[in-house]
Amino acid sequence: MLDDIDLTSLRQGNRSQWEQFVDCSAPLLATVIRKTLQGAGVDDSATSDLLQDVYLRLCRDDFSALARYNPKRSRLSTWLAVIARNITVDYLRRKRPEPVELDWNVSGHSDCFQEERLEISFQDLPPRQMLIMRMLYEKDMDVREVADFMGISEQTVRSGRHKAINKLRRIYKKRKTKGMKG
Amino acid sequence: MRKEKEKTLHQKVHSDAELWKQVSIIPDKSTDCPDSEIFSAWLDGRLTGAEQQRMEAHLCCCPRCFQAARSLRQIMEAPAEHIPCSLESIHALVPSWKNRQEEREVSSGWWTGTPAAVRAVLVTLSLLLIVAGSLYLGGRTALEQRQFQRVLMSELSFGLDDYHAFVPAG
Repeated sequence: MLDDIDLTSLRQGNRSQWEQFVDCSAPLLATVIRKTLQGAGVDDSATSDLLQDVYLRLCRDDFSALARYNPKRSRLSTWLAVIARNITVDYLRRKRPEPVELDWNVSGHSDCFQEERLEISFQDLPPRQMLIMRMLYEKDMDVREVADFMGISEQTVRSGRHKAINKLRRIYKKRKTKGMKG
Repeated sequence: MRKEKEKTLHQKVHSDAELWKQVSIIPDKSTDCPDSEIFSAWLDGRLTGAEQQRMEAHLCCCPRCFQAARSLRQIMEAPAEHIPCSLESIHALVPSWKNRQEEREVSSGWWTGTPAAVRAVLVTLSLLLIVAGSLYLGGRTALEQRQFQRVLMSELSFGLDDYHAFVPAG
C-alpha cells in the first residue's frame, strides 16, 4: 500500500522502499498520464516515457520534490496524481505550443439578451453557488455529477441552485427596476 | 406603461437557464492557480473553509483549472489500468542516487574534498618548507656560534695574553 511507504527511509536511498513505492504508484500514475493524453486527443505512446519522467522528477536532487509532500494535506496517491498530470500537461504544451482556448460556455449566451447582461460578482453570489450554476447550466452536468465533482451531497447541490436562482431573480428585478426609474 | 414593461422583461427570463444565460460573471483575479498541495488537498476534501471558498471562486473563473480538477476527479474514481512498461529501469534510479549521496558524505571535508593531485603538491611544498626551514635555522645557529666565538676569542685573546703573562703556558 502506498500509504505504508516509509518516505523518510526512501529519501535516504532505501532501495526496497523505492521499489515498493514505484510498484504501488505506477498503475495510478500510468492511468493519469494515459487519460490526460487521450483527453487532449494525443496518442498515448508517450505514457512510459512520461512515467519515467515523473519518477525522475521525484528523485532528482535527493528527492527534493518528494520532500515537499505534506501528508496532512492530502493522500500520497492524490498528490502524485496531480504531479503526474502537471508533467503530462507540460509535455502537451511543448508538443503543441499553440494554446487551446478553453471556454466555460458550452452553448454560448443567447444574443437576444445582449443588452440585458446581468453582471454579478462573488459579492452577489457566493463562489459555491456560482460554481454550481456554471456546472449545471454551462457544462450541462447533472446534479449527481456536480455533487461528485464538488465532494458534496446532491441535496446540497439542489439547495445551492435554488438559493442562487432566487438571489439572481431578486438582483435582476432590482436592477431592472432601477434602470427603468432612471 | 411601466408595469407592462416590467412584465415583458420578466417574461423574457421565465426559465432558470435563460436567466443564467444573461449572467456575466465579474472574475475574481486575486487568486492565482493553486499549487499541487492545494489542488490535492481540495481533491481529498482537506481544505480549510477560506481555502475552499478561494478554490471554488478560482474554479469558477479558470477553465484550465476546472478541466484539470474534473479530469483528476474522474481518473481518481476510475480503476487503475495496467502499466505500459517494465519498472526495472525506474527501480534502478535509486542506486545511482544513493552512490552519489555516499560520495557527497565522503567528500564533505576540505581535505578529502580536494583533488588528489592538489593534495600531492601541498604535501611536497610542506615538506620542502620544513626542510628549508630546518636548514635555515641550523645554518643561522652555526653562524651565530662562529660570530660568538670570534667575539669571545678576541676578548679572550686579550685576556689570555695577560693571563699567559702571569701564568706560563704549559
